[in-house]
Amino acid sequence: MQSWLALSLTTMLLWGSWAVLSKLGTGRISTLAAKVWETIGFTLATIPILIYLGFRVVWDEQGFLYSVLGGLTGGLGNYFYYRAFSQGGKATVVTALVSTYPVLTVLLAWGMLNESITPTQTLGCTCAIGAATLMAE
Amino acid sequence: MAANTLPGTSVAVWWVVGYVPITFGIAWLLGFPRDLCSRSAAIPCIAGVVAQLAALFFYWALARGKASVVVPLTALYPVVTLGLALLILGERLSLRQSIAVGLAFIAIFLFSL
Repeated sequence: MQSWLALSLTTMLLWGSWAVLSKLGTGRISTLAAKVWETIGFTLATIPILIYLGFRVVWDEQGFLYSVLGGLTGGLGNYFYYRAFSQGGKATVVTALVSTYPVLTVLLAWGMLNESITPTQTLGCTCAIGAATLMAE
Repeated sequence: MAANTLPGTSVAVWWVVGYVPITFGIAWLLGFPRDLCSRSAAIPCIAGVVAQLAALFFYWALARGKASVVVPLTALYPVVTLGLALLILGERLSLRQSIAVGLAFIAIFLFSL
């Protein structure tokens, strides 16, 4: 098996497990407590990365800005993801719904960047909106 | 966008600089939870470790493979969640939820094309 494929499949397995662990965690303690502990775990896991890098993290002003913005928006989005679990959302349903977020990217690109929407994307958006409607009812 | 100018390992580190303040900012705004010291805290803590490891593997995959293949493939991770949730959490879906999840999976697949 090629290394990129093995790494991709490991990523899938880890992200899939993370969602289930998040659901398990929010079932036992409050959303915020779970979020705080998740952040602590996230930060602890960064230490081996820093050691691997020899504490020499590459600096680039633009890359740093985008990374931090990614962390900010990701952290905020993740908090609401946890709240969805706390309020009884099933791991399967919440994770599947959240993963349709590219619909927002497509619509924003269409509205703000004047990018055209392909027929495949239109079909994808229709399915995602249909899924959201069914889950909301 | 960050990965265009930085190696993935560095993105994973700088990400934390944004991730930590938002969590503690929310906690500061809403008040620190009283159940912070709990035995069950290990589960979300492990979830955090798993999330960061996943990010690391993702960036390594991106560095070795084509983004056009790696990104769509890893975006299908809810399939793993579905399997684990059925097996470990014993989740059962109603007909309406099953149709909704099916539509969501079709959408994820279409967006990955």
